Amino acid sequence: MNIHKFYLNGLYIILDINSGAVHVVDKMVYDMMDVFDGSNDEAVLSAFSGQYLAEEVAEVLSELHQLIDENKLFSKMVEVPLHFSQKPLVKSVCLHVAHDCNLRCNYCFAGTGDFGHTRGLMSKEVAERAVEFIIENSGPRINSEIDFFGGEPLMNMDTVRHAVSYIRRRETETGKKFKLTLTTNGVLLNDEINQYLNDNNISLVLSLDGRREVHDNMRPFVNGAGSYDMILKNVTKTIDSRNGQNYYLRGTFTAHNLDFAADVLDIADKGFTQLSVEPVVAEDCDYALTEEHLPQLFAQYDALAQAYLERKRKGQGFEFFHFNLDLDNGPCVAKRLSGCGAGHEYFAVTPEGDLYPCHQFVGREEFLLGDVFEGVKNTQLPDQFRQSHVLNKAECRDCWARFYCSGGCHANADLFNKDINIPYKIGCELQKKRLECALMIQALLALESGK
Amino acid sequence: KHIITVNKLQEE
Repeated sequence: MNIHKFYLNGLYIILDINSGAVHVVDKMVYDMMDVFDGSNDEAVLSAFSGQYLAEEVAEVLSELHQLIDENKLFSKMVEVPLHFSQKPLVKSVCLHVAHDCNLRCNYCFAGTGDFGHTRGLMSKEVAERAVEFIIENSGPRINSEIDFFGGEPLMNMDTVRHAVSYIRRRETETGKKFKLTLTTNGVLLNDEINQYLNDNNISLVLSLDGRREVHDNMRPFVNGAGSYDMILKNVTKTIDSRNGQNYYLRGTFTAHNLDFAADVLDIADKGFTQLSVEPVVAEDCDYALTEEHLPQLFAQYDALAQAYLERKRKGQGFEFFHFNLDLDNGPCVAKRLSGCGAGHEYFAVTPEGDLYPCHQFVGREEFLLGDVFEGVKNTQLPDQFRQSHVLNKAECRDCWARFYCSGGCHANADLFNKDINIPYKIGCELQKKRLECALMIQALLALESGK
Repeated sequence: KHIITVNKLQEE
């Protein structure tokens, strides 16, 4: 497949997959692309002679051939770059500083914090070793990332503070630079912690699902009471304390709120501007998403895209993670192949120091890779993850979205298909819908700006 | 007249 065409929000759009060129066309071109293959002008003229004037068809063919000559249409398949090294460099780790939590979210992939094992906190020694693991295995890379994660990382602030001090010292000694993030449910946020996180330039991912009833239904305290009122108060104060910068409010939607666009807009109505909601990943339960839900979910993304544009035009815009698409630059091919890097560039570290391909794999013992004290001992799995990219996966290689989604989530593929090379179908369908919305939005904004 | 290209893959 070399092109993808779709109609959305009044725009006929053609994406040239291998170059990334995005063309907004008229209905005539859109229809002709069902027949035109780059070398069959006579067939196109014959097929459309009764519908359009011959001169018009010839005019369109001339424009199409010009795009082909400019490598913006039917461009050649991108192959694995020769410099896509067989030897990956570690770029980031997810530090599970706490396998414990003060909420009991119904959909938690982490088994409400303990990842199916005993609850526990990461020691300062393990945190230091995790930092050294990156330094030792990142080669000439300068920039690395560490996410403080859980469970709930604020339940182990002693280790977080120690790790941050250690990281800053090692930056000075090694010349490496670490970007730090912390993912929290917001329960323990207070003025003192806000000040600390701001002073240390730690980006935040804050969990909020949307409307009160939606959030409380899925994110109760241990005693079953809803957490919405406390979380909204806390995250509002935290975001205000950092002048509305350097954060993402991240929600999860389920079969219980298939009208999730209303949840995004509810959060936006409260003045928050950096937003994301993700589909729950679950099966065989009342909140799991199924293929039957897809048409309704697609309509919600369409509605969200409309609202996104309307608010942006009024100067009341918000950023939605999945609509942020850089059509002019974007990641390099190597990055598009390696995607999240789970299992070869990115690792999760448990409180005990064990290494897994990512936070979602923690607790799946067959994916244990080693530990921060002795390094990666399973040498086969990282290679399998590195080779599990879009050009090597049968279902991805011919998919129009391959250079935007990077092959989907390995953990979901394993969960649903027991094979990291077979992508999770519902995830694929939702990703493609979000991409069409993002392409439409960026194309429309480019047209409106007269670019 | 019929096609507008709105943006400008081959090109740490």
